[in-house]
Amino acid sequence: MPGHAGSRPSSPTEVLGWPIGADASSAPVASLAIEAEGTTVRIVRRICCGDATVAQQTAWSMECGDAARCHDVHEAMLEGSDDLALWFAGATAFGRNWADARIGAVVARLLQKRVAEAEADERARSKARLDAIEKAEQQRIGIYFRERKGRHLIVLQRRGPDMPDLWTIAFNEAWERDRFLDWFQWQGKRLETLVASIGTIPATDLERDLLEEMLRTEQAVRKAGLGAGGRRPLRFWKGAK
Amino acid sequence: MSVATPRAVRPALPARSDGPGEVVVGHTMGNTYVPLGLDRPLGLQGGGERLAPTGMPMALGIDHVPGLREFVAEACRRSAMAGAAAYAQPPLALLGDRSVGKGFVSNWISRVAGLPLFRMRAGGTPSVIDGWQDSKQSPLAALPVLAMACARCANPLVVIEMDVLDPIDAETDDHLASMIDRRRNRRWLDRQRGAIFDLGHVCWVLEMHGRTTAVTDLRPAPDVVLPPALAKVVGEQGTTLRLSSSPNRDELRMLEITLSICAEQGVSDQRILVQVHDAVSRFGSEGGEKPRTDWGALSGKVRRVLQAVQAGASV
Repeated sequence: MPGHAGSRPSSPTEVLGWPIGADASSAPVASLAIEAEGTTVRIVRRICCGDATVAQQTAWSMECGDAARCHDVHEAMLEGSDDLALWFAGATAFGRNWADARIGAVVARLLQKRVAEAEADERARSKARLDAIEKAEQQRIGIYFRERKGRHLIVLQRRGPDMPDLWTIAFNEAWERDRFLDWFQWQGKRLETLVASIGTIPATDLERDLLEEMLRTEQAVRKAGLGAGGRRPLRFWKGAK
Repeated sequence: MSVATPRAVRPALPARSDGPGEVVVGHTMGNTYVPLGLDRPLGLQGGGERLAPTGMPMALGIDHVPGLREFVAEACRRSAMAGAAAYAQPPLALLGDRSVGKGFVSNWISRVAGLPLFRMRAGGTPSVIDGWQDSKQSPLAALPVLAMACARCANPLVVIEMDVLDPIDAETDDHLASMIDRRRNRRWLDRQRGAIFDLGHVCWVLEMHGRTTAVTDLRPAPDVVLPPALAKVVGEQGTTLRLSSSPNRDELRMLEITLSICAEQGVSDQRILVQVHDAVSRFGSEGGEKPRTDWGALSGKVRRVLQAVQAGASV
């Protein structure tokens, strides 16, 4: 409540503490703020005329110990600032203990909520990561063996149940299939490009290109003296460096 | 038009002005005499240190009304610039449903500024309009004039209560506007008494009530606005504040009313204040219904609790 005692000496630039000036910018503006400075949080009321602060009252303050804690408390109080005027009035009238209990409860609740939210966010991020891995895994192209009408097939298919065949190459003998696989299994990085080219070039041309590349690789490996010999020269080959 | 008699006369705190301000508000028109001794100087009250930025503008109790602190601060600043002999304010209109804290605002200004408070009701029955209109025969002076005479104060706080559900007629609207309008109220003519009164120092508050918030009413809420003539004057010279209810604001209002009544009773012991506030907060919440937090309902509760606390009884 305001004090009425005594009379305030007025300077030539002010009357009773109000700066002299009749322009519209002198109209008083009252504000109530939660401020953090260093390691202290406080609730302050100010009345300003233009740039000049003509009255200021700190109703409550808390020493947080360190800047990080101070920042957290400040943020939490800002989040609960619907009650700011109530805190200010209660702290002024009922004293620090009343305000400590009120504000402390709000801050604790909001900090707890933040921790819970952070944990929920982390859980969601972790689930999203796993989902992405699973999805990528399902998108990966796998190489499978099939037997169909006495022929030996190598099939490209995305992983996952009931996925359609993307590309197929058939061999009469199992060793022919194995010979091709010795080379083809090390072309994993090219499979997406290969699948993308299906339909743009005739299937026979694509098979021809792949088999030619396999034979060229076999020749190069043999020439380097690294061939396994027999029907499957690339049996111990581990791909190009 | 109708007007009820003043409901309450609260003596100013302190009873006389802090400053030397005095003014004569009644002047004769000829061979008649000025009634009620109003040709003798009346005090101007509410001046001094309370007008400083650290006085009324920083006082607790008005945060539940957005914009009111700025209004009070500007009134104090202008009063200080004018010589600091008295508190003066432009017309203040408070609009809102019942039980949102309009009545408390006038009580607060009256108490903190140290002005006598008079409440009058415009509209409704019985139709006792004579005091307002000089064109009609009346033994009574206008109520703001009576207020000045009763309190021997040239700047009492005069509250005019209106209700959207019981609107005033155009004649009353014009008449009230003539009392409030600064361009006309410095020489306000009362032909019946043959006198001219200066109503320019009166601090006017217009309260326009909407419907009662506690009542469940499915009809659309009437628009809470001032009648046209009063709206024009307030729009040009004063400030209109619209009050509403919300859980945060209700709790704040309850606290501010409690503090205000305790201050009025001279109680400043924090321990007692906390006890009273806790007890008042519990009232009405037991039944699961929203407790009434208007001035009328709360002031009685606070006084009862305060008496009990001071007597050492359990609340």
